[in-house]
Amino acid sequence: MKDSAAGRNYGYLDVALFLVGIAGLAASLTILWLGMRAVLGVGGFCAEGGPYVIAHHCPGSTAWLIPVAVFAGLGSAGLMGWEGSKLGSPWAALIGLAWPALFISLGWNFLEFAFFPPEGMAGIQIGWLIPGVLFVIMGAVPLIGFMPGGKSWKSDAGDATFAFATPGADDDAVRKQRARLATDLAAYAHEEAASAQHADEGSPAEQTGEGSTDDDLVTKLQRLDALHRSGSLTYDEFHKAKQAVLDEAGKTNG
Amino acid sequence: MGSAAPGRWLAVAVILAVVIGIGIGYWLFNAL
Repeated sequence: MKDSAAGRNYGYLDVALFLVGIAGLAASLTILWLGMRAVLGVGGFCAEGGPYVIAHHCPGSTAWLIPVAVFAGLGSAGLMGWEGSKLGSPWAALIGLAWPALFISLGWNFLEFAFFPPEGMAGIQIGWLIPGVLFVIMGAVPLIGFMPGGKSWKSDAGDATFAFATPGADDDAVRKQRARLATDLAAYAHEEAASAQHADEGSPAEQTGEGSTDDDLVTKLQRLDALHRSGSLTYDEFHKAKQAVLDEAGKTNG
Repeated sequence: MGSAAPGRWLAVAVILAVVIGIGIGYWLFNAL
């Protein structure tokens, strides 16, 4: 059912499929986690089928269950992302938690089995300790992005419960920074022009000459253009700074 | 569905879905 009166463009089916995607993803990650533990329990590797004599058979159904769980997990994540994007960006962003969930849980397995290896393996298993540490780091680092970015957990969006630290979330700060940059640039251009003028008025031997002033002007304009192209300056800020540079150059030459 | 806080019931549903999913995964792994 679409509830457009409340400003929503999703129905109950979307919510249901979103939740199915989450449950499917959680189930897949659980199977991967349990499957990995079972395989680590027999030494960390196993095989089934083929013409060879197999020394390490895969425990239970892990030989086919783990690959199936991988694809089921990817499909569930896709469903979750697709439906989540209809519910609003914070809900779609929840899919990002699948990465830390996967890597921290599997990293935990590596660490646990590194310190408490199965029978027949003595001492701390460095071969499992290293991937364990790497997995935990890989899983933990993106979690920083899910921290509330200095704001309250209640978002202004109303529909959303969480405010994630997404790029562009702090537009005001970026705008202020840009304005400051433009002001600094204008001041810099003013200073440069003033010192050039001063040098001109000083000794004739130190005269920069019209040619070098033009070169200086071109360099400044090119620098401004580069800043504008890189997105550091908006169109308006670029034009203000450019005008300031040209004005100063006009005064110097005139 | 009240329009006051539609995010709240969905957040609860998401947590429930995760718990149910873990349960299904655990059950499937042991059943197969």
